[in-house]
Amino acid sequence: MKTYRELDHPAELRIQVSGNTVEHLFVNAAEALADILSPNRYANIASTEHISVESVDRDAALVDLLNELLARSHTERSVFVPGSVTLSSAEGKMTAEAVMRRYLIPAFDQDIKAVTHQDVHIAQKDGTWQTAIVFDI
Amino acid sequence: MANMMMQKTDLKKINDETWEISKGSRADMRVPARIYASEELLEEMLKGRSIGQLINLSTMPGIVGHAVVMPDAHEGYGSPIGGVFATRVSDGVISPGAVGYDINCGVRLLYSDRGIEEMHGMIEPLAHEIMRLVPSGMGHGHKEKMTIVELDEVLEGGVAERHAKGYATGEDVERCEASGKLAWADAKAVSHMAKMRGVDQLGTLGSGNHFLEIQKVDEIFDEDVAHAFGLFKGQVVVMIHTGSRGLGHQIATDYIKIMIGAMREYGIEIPDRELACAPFASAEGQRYFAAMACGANFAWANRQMITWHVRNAWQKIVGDRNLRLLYDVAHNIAKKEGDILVHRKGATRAFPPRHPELPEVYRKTGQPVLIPGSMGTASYVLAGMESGKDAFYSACHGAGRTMSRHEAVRELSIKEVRKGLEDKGIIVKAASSRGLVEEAPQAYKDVDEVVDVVHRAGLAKKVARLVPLAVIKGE
Repeated sequence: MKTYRELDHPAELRIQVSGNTVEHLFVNAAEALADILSPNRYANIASTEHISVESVDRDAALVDLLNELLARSHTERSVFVPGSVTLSSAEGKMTAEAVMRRYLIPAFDQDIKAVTHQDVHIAQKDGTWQTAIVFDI
Repeated sequence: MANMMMQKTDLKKINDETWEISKGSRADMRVPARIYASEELLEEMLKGRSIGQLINLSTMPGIVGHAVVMPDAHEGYGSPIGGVFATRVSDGVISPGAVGYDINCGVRLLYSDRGIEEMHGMIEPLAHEIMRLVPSGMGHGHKEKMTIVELDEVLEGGVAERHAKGYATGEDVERCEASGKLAWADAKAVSHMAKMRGVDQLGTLGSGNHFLEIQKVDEIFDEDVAHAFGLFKGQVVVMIHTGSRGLGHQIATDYIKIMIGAMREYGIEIPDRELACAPFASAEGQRYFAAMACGANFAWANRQMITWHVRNAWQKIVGDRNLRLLYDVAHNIAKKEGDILVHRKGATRAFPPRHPELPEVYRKTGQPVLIPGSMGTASYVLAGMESGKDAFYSACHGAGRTMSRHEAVRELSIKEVRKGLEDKGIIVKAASSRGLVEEAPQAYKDVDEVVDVVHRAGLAKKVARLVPLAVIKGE
């Protein structure tokens, strides 16, 4: 089941993701990234990875986490499907820690150059946490 | 405020191709904003977010003159695609987002000494051979990876390094913007992750709107300049459009993050996080500039390696290596030009005659300006003009999108797109049907109209119109 909805953008890929909690939104966003890069993946989990990013705030943490996953997807020919994401803040910084399952992939279905900060504003609406994300393709 | 929608009545008409948004239109504007567009193109722009993004550019600290947008503008992230602005080197900012993730995405044009009538039966096998030699798919690099030491040499050496290794001629070096090498590049400013994304990418085309086309010179508008450029009607030429691949994308990602953190310390506030910036003279600003230069050098080396592959294909099919470089120019880059730092994102530099940065061969004509059309449509060669000074000597970079990729896939079929190309006699070599549909000409503005605006506005003058014979695309 898709964890995101595709929105219009003249040149890039814009999606809408949501979650019951902010952490759930992060999980769904990471799942969306993996799904866009490669809906087809080998059945066996290659490894379990712990990934952590530190950012200036929650919106940046989402973008930074996704960009970290994207970079590793490119360099390791893998996609990373989230098990869980934990957010914590201290001294004006937001840390996102994720436990990811890493799957090897034969090829990318869609190339993504970067995850941009465009339109990323995590906010609660109608009982769920939502944001748009624009991928540079 | 950042997404304020403007009406045409909010703009001041300077002439039929030039419109202005006054500095007082929004409280945080530091300079006016200028739009180069026909009335029809302007009305399309006003429906989207590119004008709001242009106004955001006008808020950049240290900005001079106008914030500018080209007639092929469309919504980007941070800066509109087609956006140009300049900041003072002394106390202005540099912004990675205003350069773009694909650092030095750009175009080069190779010209042969053959007319189409001399290439009978050769175009299809040539396209096939080029596709065989040039890895074109997404994430698909070479099986062999460079070492980090070898990559660092490319990052700092650009086309000069490729020349030293035997992959470029002296003329290739001379006729590339900046001789294909920005001297302040420092490989130490590039992250390990960025390098890992680049080690197998040199000589690859990439996906999306990147392409390689075999083209024919269809029309000459300025005989004297065309002759100086080595162009003649019916001539077969090759256009290459690609950039710095994953390496450049990662450099931009890394430094946008750094700048977001740094802005707080410099007390900078901007309306769009994608325009995150730091003072050009700051440590962060200088490190990004050095890293950006690495990305730019990599892109020029990339297009040079593709050129080498194309020349190999040409030799195999046509029997010689007579493909010369007309010019290679970036359309995503920040350059020091005098005492200002010019940011161009989806805009092409267009230096006028007698500009000291031009190679001697183009001092009289002005810089060749290469404008790729959308797939299956015309491309153009123009020449820079002195009258482009108000736009920091800049021109458009293509046709600009009007339809989202999502909508293109929804509305168009691969069958009709292929048929449309084949009906024009265009040979198509594409690894992906979806990529072909997303790049259908129906998804883009009319490049003839866009280039006509550039010509009428005096940003650059038309020299030649090129039409595709074969299109080679990544996935």
